Amino acid sequence: MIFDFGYLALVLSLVLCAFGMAAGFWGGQLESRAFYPGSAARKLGPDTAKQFSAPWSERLTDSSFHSVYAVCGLVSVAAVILWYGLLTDQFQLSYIWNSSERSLPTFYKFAAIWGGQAGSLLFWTLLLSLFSTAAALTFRNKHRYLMPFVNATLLATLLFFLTLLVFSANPFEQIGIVPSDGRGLNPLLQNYWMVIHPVMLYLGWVGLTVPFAFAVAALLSKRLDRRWVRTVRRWTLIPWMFLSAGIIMGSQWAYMELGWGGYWAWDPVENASFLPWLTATAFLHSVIIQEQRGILKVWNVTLIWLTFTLVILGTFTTRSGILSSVHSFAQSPVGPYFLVFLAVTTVGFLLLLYQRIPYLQGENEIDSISSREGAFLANNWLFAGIAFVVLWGTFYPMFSEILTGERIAVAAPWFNRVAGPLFLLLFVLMGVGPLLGWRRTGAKALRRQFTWPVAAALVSVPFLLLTSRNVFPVVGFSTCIFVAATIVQEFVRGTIARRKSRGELLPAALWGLMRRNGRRYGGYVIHFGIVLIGVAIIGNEFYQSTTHVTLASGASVDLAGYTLTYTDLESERRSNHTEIRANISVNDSATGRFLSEIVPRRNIYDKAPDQPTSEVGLRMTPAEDVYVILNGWEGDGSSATFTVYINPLTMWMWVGGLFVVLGTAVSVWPHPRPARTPRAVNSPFRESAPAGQAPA
Amino acid sequence: MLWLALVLIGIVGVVAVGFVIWPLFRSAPPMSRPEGEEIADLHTRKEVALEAIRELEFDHSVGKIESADFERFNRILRNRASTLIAQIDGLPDGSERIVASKVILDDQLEIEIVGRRRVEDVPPDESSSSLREE
Repeated sequence: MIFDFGYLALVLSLVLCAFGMAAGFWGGQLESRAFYPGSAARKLGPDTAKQFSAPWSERLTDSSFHSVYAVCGLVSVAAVILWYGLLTDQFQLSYIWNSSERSLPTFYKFAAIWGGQAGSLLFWTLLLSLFSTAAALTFRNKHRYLMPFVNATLLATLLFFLTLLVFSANPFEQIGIVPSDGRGLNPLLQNYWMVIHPVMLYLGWVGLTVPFAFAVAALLSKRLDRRWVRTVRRWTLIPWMFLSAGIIMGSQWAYMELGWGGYWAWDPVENASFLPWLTATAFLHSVIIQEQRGILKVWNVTLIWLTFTLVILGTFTTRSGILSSVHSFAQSPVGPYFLVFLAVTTVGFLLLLYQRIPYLQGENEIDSISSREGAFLANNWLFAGIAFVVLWGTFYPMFSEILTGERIAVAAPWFNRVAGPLFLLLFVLMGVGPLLGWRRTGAKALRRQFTWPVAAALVSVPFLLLTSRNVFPVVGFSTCIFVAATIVQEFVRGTIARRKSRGELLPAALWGLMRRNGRRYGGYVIHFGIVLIGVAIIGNEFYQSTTHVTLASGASVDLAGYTLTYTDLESERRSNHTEIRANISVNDSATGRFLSEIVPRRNIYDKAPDQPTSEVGLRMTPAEDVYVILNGWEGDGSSATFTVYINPLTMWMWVGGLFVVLGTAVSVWPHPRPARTPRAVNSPFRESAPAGQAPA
Repeated sequence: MLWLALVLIGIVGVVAVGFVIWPLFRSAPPMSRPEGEEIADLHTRKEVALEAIRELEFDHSVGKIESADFERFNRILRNRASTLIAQIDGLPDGSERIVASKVILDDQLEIEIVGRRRVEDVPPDESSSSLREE
């Protein structure tokens, strides 16, 4: 009964969603028609306009707000019911039978809601309804011109996902009997990173719907001033932070769980999360230019639409199976729905954009290429270029199969070769941009700003050449050093300037600098995190050592200064799987000093014995990781086969990820704002300073 | 048991539909009118201009902008901010409508800029700003 109720709650929320969407669009239209300059109602005078339609526009708008809240409540009820079913092993539900089992640890049962198609769509819908409610509550009494359209756009997106849940991927579908046990969760998903990583990704993807809704609302209402831009920046930064954290956590999961020695393989699923990250990052930079200079208006709304589209496209590709085989697309029940939604949003948005072009004229021009806006513009081109390359490479197998009948996969080396140089240029710009001022930076200032960072990069080159004769890592590392030096210089000069002007101690000056200029210095912290990630990538790409070896018990192998000795094999029974563990001691090859014990494992799951998972044995240090995969063994453990990797600098990828999150937190943290001063009609002297004194 | 689920969802449905359509049958609360939106827009533009002046001063103090460029850009930004303050002061808000003189506008601009330079000396007064969420 309770699961029928859960399904009916989704049906009811679908109906209310459709109503709220219509109310929002209609209310917004009435509001715009009634009060927008030049409209018929406006010409009749404000009183007439109010009498005609304003009350209805307000009532419809309020109704759209209430719809958002009601949909959120109903979807939450449905999600709680599904969680109840998962935690209490209700295997009569097809979804739970396919995604869980009695002996599954409780936190994996909880996480199983995003382990399969229908559950993850419900989870997505839940998060979107929560984001919509948060936006509605935050802007309940502000942006009254935008909010009906914002609500309507958010509800339209919710309507799409509820349609999927009700008509195509019902998480409450029952199988008619009550099986004694479920088929179990995919073994690859039974990892602690999979408990948190998808949540982060979903928060990022779903959250990016809010800025898209504001962009649509600004276009529909023709309120294309700077207010929506200022509003959405924070609402883009927070999902961007979640998306960044999700991507890093996904890399960590791939590194620890997939057991192929790396963390990023340019897999379509990985690219699906990376593509919207690229366009959202470009938007976060270019929106500053619009805010500061009133330019790039068309580009910004296009970027935020692209970001939303790539989120939906990514979800479509990962769920429809379109990239594993073109033919599986026809068998996927959700694929056609996604295609229709993508087509409708794309055509609708582009038509709207075309109609609003006259309202999107730039207010200024870029004064000089040697300016921050010039650097940001170049950075946007690069982000767009990288996004195009990744998109092309991701979909190339599908295009080739459609056009030639032969599926030609594009592998990681192609992505590295094509996107690598673009990333290098992006890194250079990441260092150059902060050194430039707005509008124009003259030759003297350029010299003053660039001397130390360029010197630091050049000085590092001979030392880097000692580590490698390959020019690529040398250029890569020296670029990272250049960017890091610019960031340090920014902090040092900013702190000194503040100290001079205010006479503060250095720590107080640094704190004040960060507090007052959170957006700028938070951005620098993020850049520093990206530099660390770049260092880790270069280290792994160019300095990795590897060997594949079979060792008898007590035998050793030497690699890159380490001696690894296989001791023995043991097994341990867990709740739903058996762990096979190989004990390996790691010693320094030169001195023989014992460094650590590492334990690579294979987990053999009861429900999927032919799908054993690999848990790598890892010794992580700032310099390098000793990374061992257990590939196989003799029945009694007398010998075992391993793949050993020495991965330099990998730890800095995770540290860099932390910096990215920390920097975003600094950027979005509310910094002190001045109180509004009284209007000029009231004498500023009388209001702001004691009588007879000039203001400070 | 399906009938029980139907009864329950019927009750929930009546409550939810009532909650959603209730605003259609009540008198709407007063909301901000276009004039208020216009003022808010002008305030946003003024905030952006003042913030740009502060950033320009900061960039100049750390050597990113040469003095000649600084003078020129500072003048442009100050003119823009003054114009916006004049526009804000010129809009009706129900109080006495007086067009501010150039001298008073310049003084007010100075107060605004000084306020931004020293903002962290006083506790943030978010309550008086309608832009605090931005």
